[in-house]
Amino acid sequence: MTKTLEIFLGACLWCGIQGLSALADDLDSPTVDLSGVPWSFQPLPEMQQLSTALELLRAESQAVPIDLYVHRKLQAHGLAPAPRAASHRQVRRLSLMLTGLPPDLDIAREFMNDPTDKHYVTLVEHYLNSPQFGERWARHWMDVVRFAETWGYEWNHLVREAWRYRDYLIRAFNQDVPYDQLIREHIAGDLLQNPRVNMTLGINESLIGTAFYRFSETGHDDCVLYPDISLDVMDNQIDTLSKAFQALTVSCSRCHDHKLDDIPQSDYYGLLGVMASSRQVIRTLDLPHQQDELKQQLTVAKEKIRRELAATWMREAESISAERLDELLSSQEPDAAQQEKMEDPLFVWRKMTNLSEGQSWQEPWKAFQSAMETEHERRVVFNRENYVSFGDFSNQKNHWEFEGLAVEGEACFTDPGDFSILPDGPQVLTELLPAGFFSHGLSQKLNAVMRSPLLPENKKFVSYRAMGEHKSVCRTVIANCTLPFFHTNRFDAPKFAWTTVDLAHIRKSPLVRLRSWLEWATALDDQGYPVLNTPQTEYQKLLDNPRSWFGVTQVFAHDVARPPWQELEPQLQVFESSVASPDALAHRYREILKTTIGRWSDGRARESDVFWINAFIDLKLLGREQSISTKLAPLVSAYRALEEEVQTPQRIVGMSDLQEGIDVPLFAGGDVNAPQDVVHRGFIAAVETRIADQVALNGSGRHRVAELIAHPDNPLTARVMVNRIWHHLFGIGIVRSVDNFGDLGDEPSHPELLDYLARRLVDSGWSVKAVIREIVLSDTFRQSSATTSQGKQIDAENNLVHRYQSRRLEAEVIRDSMLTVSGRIDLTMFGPSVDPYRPEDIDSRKLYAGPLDGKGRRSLYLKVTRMGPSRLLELFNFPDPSMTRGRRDRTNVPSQALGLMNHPLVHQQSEVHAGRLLNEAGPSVDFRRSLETLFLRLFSRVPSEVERREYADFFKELASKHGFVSSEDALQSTEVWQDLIHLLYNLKEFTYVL
Amino acid sequence: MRLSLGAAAPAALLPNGVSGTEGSVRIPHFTPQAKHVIFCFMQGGMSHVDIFDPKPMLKKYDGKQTFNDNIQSQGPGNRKWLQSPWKFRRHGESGLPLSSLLPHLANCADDLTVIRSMRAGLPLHSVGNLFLHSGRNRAGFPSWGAWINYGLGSQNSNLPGHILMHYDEVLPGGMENFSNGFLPAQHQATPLRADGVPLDNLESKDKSVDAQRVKLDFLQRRDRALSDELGGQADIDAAVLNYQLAQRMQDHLPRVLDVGAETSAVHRLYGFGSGDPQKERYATHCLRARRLIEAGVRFIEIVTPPGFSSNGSWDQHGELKKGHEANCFIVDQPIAALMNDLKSRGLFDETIIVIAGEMGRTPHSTGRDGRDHHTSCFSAVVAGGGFKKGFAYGETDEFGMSVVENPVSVHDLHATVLHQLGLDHEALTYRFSGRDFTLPDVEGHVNHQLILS
Repeated sequence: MTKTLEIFLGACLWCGIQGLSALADDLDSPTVDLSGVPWSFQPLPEMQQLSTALELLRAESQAVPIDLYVHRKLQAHGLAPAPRAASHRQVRRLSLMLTGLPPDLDIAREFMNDPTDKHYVTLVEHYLNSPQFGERWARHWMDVVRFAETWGYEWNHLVREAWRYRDYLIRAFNQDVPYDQLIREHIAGDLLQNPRVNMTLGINESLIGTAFYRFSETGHDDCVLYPDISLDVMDNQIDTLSKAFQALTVSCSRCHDHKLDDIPQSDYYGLLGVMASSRQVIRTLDLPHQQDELKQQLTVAKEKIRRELAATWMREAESISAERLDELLSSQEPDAAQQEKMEDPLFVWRKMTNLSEGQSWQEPWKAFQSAMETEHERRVVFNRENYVSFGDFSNQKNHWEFEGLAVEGEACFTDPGDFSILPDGPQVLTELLPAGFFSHGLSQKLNAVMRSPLLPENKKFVSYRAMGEHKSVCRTVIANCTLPFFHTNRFDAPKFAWTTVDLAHIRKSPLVRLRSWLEWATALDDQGYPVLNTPQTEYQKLLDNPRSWFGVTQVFAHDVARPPWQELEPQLQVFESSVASPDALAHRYREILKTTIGRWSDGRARESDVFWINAFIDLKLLGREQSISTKLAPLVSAYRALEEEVQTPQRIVGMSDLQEGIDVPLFAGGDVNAPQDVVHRGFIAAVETRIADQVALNGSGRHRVAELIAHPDNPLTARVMVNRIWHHLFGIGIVRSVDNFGDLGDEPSHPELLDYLARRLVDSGWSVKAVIREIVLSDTFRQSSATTSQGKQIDAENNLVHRYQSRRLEAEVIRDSMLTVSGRIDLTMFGPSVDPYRPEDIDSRKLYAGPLDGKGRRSLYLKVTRMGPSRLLELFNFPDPSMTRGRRDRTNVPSQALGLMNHPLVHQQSEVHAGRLLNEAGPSVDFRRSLETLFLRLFSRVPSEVERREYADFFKELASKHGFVSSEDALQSTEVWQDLIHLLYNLKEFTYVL
Repeated sequence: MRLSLGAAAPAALLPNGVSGTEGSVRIPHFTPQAKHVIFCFMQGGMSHVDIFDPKPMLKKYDGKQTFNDNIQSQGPGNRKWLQSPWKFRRHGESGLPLSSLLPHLANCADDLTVIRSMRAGLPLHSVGNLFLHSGRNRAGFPSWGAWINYGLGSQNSNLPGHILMHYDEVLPGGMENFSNGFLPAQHQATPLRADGVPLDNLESKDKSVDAQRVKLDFLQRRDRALSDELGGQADIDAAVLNYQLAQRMQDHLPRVLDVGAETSAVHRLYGFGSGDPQKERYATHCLRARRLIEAGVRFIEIVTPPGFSSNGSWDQHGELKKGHEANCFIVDQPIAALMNDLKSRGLFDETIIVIAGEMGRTPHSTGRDGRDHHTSCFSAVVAGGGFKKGFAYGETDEFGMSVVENPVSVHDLHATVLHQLGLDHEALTYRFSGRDFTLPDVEGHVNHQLILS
């Protein structure tokens, strides 16, 4: 026994086992009657129980637990395990399964020369620690979460920076982030108390997990008319969540109780409430305060500009006189309607100077004063009586939600008189800003999102005063529909305007009423941007432009059908004392302006000061060009140089919680028009009841769902995950139906083995690598794939794993293998995806042409485009990202043969490979040596003597087909080698794992 | 082991123990009336009131405000009735009314069943396309061509059983419209384009046929040796056979698709040489469809050449006159020719021809030359395959707004077509994701009034 333990420790795989000497009668003391419970809902046995049982088995064998379980079953069926696979097969299998790439030539050669267990163990560690390990296992998980980078439907909008989720998975699998942590991050990564941070990238890693919800097909149509659109998205989210982590088909219960499994319809609607209580948003990932220093420098630089502007403006204000005002006004474009409005800053001037010559000012002055005061009062009263402030967004209260780099440090909540330095051109600024929320106070490159609480049900309208540029937007998000071009207001001018949102839609349906809010966002933080059909270069330009901004000053809810009146408080300042002549009135304006500039210079500006300064900027009395002072240009240049350094945000689609959360009614028959009783937000009841701890419900309930799934008592979570791992390593799951552990799913072929591995996963601290390590070190993994007549007879489908299951490799592995052996592979990791190969752009679907060889990148870096996928990958069953696909199809059809025979990539890489080979061979090509290199690269072995002869003959035959008479010439010929290599790429020894 | 042409292909590896295989004929549930389907997809939505469903009331009320405030249609605004710019006339012995837009199909009137009472779901292109193809509003479900191919198998192992005849465009809903969904992947549509190399990877890039043969012979030897070394590997053996099939497809498919082998009389019949390149493509597809049917292909879908809108060729919110005339010019003669051609070869009765868009178009408009999306009633045509002849089914109201009698849902259409193929829509199931799926889901009824008893 001590010896056994040593072997285990030596093999680095058995660290968690405890209580090996536990008593056998522990097994025989069941306390709960579990006879009616389906196998997958049975509690996971403790390791102690398992160990005891293992001890009994071990009396007969010295094998590791995995092999004990498999061998026992084989024995029971009269079968023996297959012998070890040939050493080249072992190394190739290991490399392909762990990294998705064939072994490097040197590794293959070394292992060929030293095919010992010790060497194998070293290789296992090598591949587990290879960066390509994470890529391989990330892609497996991407099938489970139906990863996609476009939203399909019609316009195929880009899922914003979805590739960051792929990178997140690669990092997570490489770092062996505990699986329960990954679960928490996927389901509620935005709600974790202590999120994982990535200091290298400066981001909150945990936040990325929630992107998994967001890969469903998503339409841009109007959710008021078609609420099914949002229900279908949430249905797909529930489906993915329940299949990915629990292998349960909860979405079968959308219309009725599950026919076979213990999943009543209320489970579905409990989860629908969880989804409906979450906002589907774009998250900013950057850790806070990373640009504080730069922001501080910008603030200082801006302050200098303010001082200089103020000094200059003070001088300019001195020039106000009656003549100057006349001159300025006459140079303005006449706008009769505007001039008749009391809002106009120079309304009084126009009216008074329009009086006939010699007429006394006394009476008219009083009349205007009285009229304006009355009007002001009327407006104040009207506004007070008819408008209620809809939340206060000057700070993060009342469920207003703010996100983005501009929001950090609350710099975006501005006092009156702030301003934004224009990033280029002769102008320093556009205007001064009133108090409000402005995203561009320091830089238009800093992003911002502002989300309102749910829109009021008891009011008819909401109005907001806002402006913005570069396609920033205010969207009425209805029923979580994030893409419609309806209900959106895109900003493209630095000019305030009121917008009134009719809330009639809110009263349309019971579900819709519950979920509707306003979202202001800079362009790239809007999910429906860029909007329409754009040629590729244009599209990329839009995505690469980080500049966009918006500002909002007020949001009101009301029943009258118009926005609030503009009050006249600043205008009334003119009437502080009466004046009797144009000169005196001009003097009044001068004094008002100088006072306001003075206050603004000191950073004490009031709203009315902003009004007056902007009025005189508009009049061109106050200049906004750098040229107004010789000192300005260097200050502005300095500012702009600093601003260039501002880092743009790292974003990804994700989720956030919506207020306290809401419960939704159960829809009879799944029909949105047939709401029944409201169902409390929850999780699958049959799972909940098996978890001893109470987990509190907060907000949407996602956090609770995460805790219930990641809970060690959850009978499904670990079983489902280790089964996925087994499935990938062996091609067949212990439970074949990897996404369905319910009644219609398959029974486990080796229930104890499944439980053992699941227990190992939990006890190892949810280490995926530990489980993979233990499996690939087992004899079961290392056995030969050769069939035997006995095996075929007794276990035709290899359910008992009497041999290793040989099978065609996945689409990505075939493509990546070709690129690897040809030498074209570019193992650069991470970053935006490469468009898959397509002959032409299809602008209307945002399907853009990518290079034939995908820039040599591994296949998981090819963009997963809905509506038109990579045809080469699709040919070999790369999954359609509509639904969870834990088990891919593995078809064997003639079109695959055609693909490998004729696809341009296969020919291109044959040619590249031929070039590499001739280059390596040098001036005199030795067929024997070159063939050996080819074999080592492709098959991790050297050819047999028979093969050498056959290939030499074959080469000659090819050479003659190419018209070569001299074998010397043929050996130097790229075309003949290309032909040979093309043949090798078609060999099953290359496209299969054996 | 060598396979002869037409013999059963090797069993593909299928999940879930389904026994259907590419290239093997499966036994239908009951005696079939038909063996093939040609689906002429009018994507974007043909206007029913301009082509199939005459509405004199529209003439009377032309330009007048619609009376019902609740008219559900795309876009807000001031909607007015719009009469059809085309005249309807009765045709054939049956007196089936059709508009002047389809002069050639009018000559086939006595062979057509016009369903005037079609109903679909949401009046949106993507949803509509997916719904018409798969009976679902969302991507990820098998197209009906995939279901039919799954249900019946292919009669010709050298050819795919489910074919999409296209123009390299991508319709709303994407290639997902033609997908196998959760059915085994060999049931997805094989796309054939009208111009150039019809199928990706079909053309050999080898130096010569001879050079390819040398390589493939060697490949086969090496693969066999590998299989033998490993005690016999069924999967590898099957893959080896696939290379033979692939080679035969390379040889066979271009010959099947070679419309040059047809007489000039046939070319004239299909409308070749009209000078309209789109009509040339459509005629090519139709003629190839006939040749493919002869070769035993189960399901062929022909989409309308792209033209007026990226949302579908028939999506005439504006320029109704121009667009519908151009589209009808493109499709009318080739489809009529296809029917006559099939008839003359005795294949018409065993082939179901379906002509349908994902929606119809509104009888009212905000303008004077366009119609919007309409799904509460529209028309579809079925012909051949045991469907009634010279027959109009279902009734819509005086304005063509909604069905007043005998509605036919998309699910019903699917169920009825399956029925004619000998398939019971409730028994044709596939187990996936915890339940048994069918094409029409829990809905759909065979409409016996549409078919000859």
